[in-house]
Amino acid sequence: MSLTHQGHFKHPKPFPYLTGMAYIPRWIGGVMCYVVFGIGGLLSSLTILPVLRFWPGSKQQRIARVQKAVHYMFKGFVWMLTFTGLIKVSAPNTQALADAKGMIVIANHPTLIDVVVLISLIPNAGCIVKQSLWRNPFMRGVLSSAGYIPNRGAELLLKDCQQVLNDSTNLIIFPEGTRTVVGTQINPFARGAANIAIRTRTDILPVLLHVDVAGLTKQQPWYEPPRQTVNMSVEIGAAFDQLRYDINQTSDAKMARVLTRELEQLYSQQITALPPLSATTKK
Amino acid sequence: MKNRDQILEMLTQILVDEFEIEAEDISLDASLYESLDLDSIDAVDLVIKLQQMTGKKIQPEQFKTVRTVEDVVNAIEGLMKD
Repeated sequence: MSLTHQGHFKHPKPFPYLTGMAYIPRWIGGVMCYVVFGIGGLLSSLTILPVLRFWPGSKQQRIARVQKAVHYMFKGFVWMLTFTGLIKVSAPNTQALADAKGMIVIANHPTLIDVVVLISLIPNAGCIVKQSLWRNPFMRGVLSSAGYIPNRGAELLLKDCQQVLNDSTNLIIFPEGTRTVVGTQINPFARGAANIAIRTRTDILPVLLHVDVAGLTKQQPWYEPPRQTVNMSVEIGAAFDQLRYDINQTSDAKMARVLTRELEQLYSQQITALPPLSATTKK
Repeated sequence: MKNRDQILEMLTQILVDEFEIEAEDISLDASLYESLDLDSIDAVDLVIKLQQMTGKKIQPEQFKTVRTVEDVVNAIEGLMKD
């Protein structure tokens, strides 16, 4: 099966690499993005999000409202990231993401802002968020009112995921676990996404994020915004139907291993098939 | 009453059959999460499987501190004595 729509993927033209004075506006813009993200998170959790959260309606309606608000805020944030030249997103065929209901959306994880880009394309997205972020005052309000899931250990996690998926939220998971190490195609996949999909009988929608230069990676400090605008293309593959999980008639633990291998192979093939990354330093 | 060798044998069988682990990788000091590549969801499955095989109820707290194959054997041995 193929993840990409067209056989011949063409990179957009790479952006210039900024040096000297030309980098100053980029640097200011980049740092402003962090400031706006933090302040936006804090202010919205004190203003609009509580209103949406406590406005009458069922629990699902209220969570769906907040998810939609976060979706629009992240659309705005992607606009800011584009305006300041950090990134240029090309997502021409992403209707499937806008239409998805109660699916597990998986993606590779090249940059810091992958989840922002994905949520800007998915009006009803949920995520599993590590415990440390729940203690972050800038983020906590958003996380809890959007119905995001804290990782509270395997058993509770599966229950939480099942409930969120039943409410037709799409769960975004990065099987790489953390951002792709610079210089490698993908990190080895952890089995969490496959395990959750198998045990909650959920379809998987694979998304490929392809970037033309390394930028906003885990190896680069946050106060050094990319000198070269990162071209990111978002491509959606064919969904993995949950009925396929039963084919092998094996235990869930084994099936999770089979499925994880399959997914990892799919991603590494797709990324290898694309033109190689252009040099990440000046040319 | 089972002795430690029998417990290890039973555990090895579960790890090989259910979790695709090679029998030769299993030793008492092998760590479940690093060398045997189990994850937290596997650990839940392992506890369920051990409960079925031993017929004893395993409290999650008893399994929280388990890190190596030997820890599992000790935990099961403790259960069988009760």
